[in-house]
Amino acid sequence: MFAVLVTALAFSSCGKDNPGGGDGGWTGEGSVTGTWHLAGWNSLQAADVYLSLENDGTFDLYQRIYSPYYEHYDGTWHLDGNTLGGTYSDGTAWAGTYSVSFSGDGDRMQLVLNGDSSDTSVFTRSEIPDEITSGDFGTRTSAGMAGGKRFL
Amino acid sequence: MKILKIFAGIMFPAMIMASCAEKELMPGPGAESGADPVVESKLIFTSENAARGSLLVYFSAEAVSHVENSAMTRSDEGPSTRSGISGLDAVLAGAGVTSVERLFPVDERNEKRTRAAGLHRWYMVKFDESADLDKVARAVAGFSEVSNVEFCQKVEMEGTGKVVPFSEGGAVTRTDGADFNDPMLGNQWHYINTGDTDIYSGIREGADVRCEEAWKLCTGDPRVVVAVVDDCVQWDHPDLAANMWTNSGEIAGNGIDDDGNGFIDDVHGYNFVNNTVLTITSGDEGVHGTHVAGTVAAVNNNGTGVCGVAGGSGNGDGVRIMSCQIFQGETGGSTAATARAIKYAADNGAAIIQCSFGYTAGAAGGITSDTAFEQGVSAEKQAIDYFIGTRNCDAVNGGIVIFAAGNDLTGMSAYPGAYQDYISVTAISCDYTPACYTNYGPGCNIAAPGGDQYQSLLETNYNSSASGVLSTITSGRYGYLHGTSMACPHVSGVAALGLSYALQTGKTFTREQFNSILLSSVYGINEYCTGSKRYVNDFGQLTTLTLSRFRGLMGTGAIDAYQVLMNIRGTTCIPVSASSQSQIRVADYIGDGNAQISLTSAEISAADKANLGITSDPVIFGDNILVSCSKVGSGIMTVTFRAGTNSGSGMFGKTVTKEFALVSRASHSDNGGWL
Repeated sequence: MFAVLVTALAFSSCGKDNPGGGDGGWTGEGSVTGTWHLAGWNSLQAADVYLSLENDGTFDLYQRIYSPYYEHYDGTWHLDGNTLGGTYSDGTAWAGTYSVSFSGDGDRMQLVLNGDSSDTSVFTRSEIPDEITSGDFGTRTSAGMAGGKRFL
Repeated sequence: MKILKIFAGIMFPAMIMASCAEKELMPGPGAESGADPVVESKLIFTSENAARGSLLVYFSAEAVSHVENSAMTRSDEGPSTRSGISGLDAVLAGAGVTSVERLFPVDERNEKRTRAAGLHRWYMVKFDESADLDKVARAVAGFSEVSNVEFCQKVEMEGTGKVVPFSEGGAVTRTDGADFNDPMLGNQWHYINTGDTDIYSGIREGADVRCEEAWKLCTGDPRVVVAVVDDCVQWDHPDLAANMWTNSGEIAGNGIDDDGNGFIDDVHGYNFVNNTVLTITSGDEGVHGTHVAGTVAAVNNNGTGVCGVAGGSGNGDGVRIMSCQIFQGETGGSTAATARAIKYAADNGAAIIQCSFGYTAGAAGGITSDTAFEQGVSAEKQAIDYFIGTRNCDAVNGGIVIFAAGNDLTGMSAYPGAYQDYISVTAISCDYTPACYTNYGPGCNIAAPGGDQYQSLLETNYNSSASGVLSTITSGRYGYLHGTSMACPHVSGVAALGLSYALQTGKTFTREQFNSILLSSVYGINEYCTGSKRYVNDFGQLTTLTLSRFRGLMGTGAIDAYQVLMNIRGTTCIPVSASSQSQIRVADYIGDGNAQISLTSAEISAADKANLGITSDPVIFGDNILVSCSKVGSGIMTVTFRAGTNSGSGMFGKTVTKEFALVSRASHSDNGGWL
């Protein structure tokens, strides 16, 4: 019920604001492909997110947000103009579509969710640490571990 | 069978401190004091089970200078026998006084804060053992210069499990993924439980402290010192020696207090029973302490024996063990020795005290409430308070106190562990079930593997103790024991690992924050509190134990070292809607989602409410928190919950405060992904 409601509200706000590229300092050109690290989202300090967008249209997302562990998601992405969208490999759609813009040097990427500038993620180009991709920071799933999630 | 070393002392709550309107009693050990309420209010504990011929005397702040002057101005050699308070000295002389000395020796490096804590006011008075202890105590308490008189509890081991030595060639084939080369690690299911049925047919994979994952991140740090307050640790055990704390300011065996800390030749610790160097003489002496120490920090990856939770990687990087000996064979464990040992730990660098001892839980006349424990104002509690207030690790601003819950199969934790400022550890078996001896209920905060040797013994015709906890024992050997005494050092080891990781990642915490991380980094065990198990009781009878009695009463859950390290890395977030009320089940974000907690409050600062567009306070509704955000943004929600259960009569569990970052978005992906 919660998800349905949130999704409906998100769609209702589509196109309400100017997509992110026009904001001061975000007028550069760049490529979405590569590996990125979340540098800022509002005042949130606790999240750690790495995103790898591959040329073949697949992505890997490593995040430490809603769990003490790093969780791994993957799936496919697509870009239409400056609008980025995608689907997780479990069939779940992204939270919405993102307006993409870049800093002047192309090393910073801004993603504005559903045109709502208050929901703006800023990423910087960054390698993903080996200990994250290796699974050392991921959860273990075992027969004895109640409620174990997939992920790493 | 009971492994925990138990203070058999029976304690009565002392009453509130007396006012200054006191009446001096006529001196003399034979004086009848009657039941003067002022005198009675000064007494801590009772003479029952107390050592004869000694009392702990807490002088008033004003009077203690007289006592100190008396000691300084005397001209004779040997111990002081005078307090400098004439009437009191007459009483003591009548009792055949042999010494009047500070309980806590002067350590010039720490004297200022010792005095600030009032610990310099404690004196140990020794006299003829034939003197009537009650009469002397009451006569001493009758002086206005005396604030309290504590009976020095005569401590006894209620029982120790017989250690089962590890047999040569008994190492099982390892199937764990750890990189260490210690040959017996495969037998240490309590670190990495692969579900090896050679140990016990009913074993369940994962019933461990999750070392395999944790060791990939951290294996220890020599800057972290754990004081093992127990019997003597075999400091030269081949699997411990490299991880023993060494007092660099002391020269072994020269009979001189080289570093001026008040203790002679305290190289790896000290014997507070006999006021000598660490002592192991014969028999099983030192087995318990050596076993406990090995669980905390036996040397890892040295090609020898066993591993320890925070024993390093084989490169000299394990946490350090300080041996604070309060038992020797069947003697020791007095409140005086315990208090001195704990203050020593504080003054000499320990960040954690590992305490597998306590008073008998639920004993007639024993402590059954925090108020009773506090009212004692005992030297022991004051020493623990002093330890808590001492910062010996850059990662945390005070000492971490960890006790065993006790082995009485009683529905409450033993004190001191039950006290709300300390962590009390219950025990689980290799199949997640509560161990057949563990205490449970009010005062218990968290569980850890303590083993249950009967599981393997009963199915091998008493030929295998493999379902117990394997660790170092004296004479350089290895052996199995079980008990909350064995569970406790798993938590101490994980705590030491956590502090190590915090140091290595530059994180700092308050003591409360660090305790909260420990108690909320757990996996649930309630689902295993069903059915029954067999064990042999103290009378040698095969008995069936119903497991439902433990449900919800073992603390928050079983400690998970890997979770501890990951929680040290940062705060967990909770997604909420930016446009409607969100119902948050906080337990989903604590431990593995099955932790046993009781919510008590949820708060968001005014600034963060503004960030989130919240106009009303969050509301607790059953197991949920209701919060209504109207803006995209983030803010910190501070949640308070009880770790452990409330007795309803003065035992409260431990209050835990944990911060979560609320992430308010108009849209979240259904599977929790950020995009």
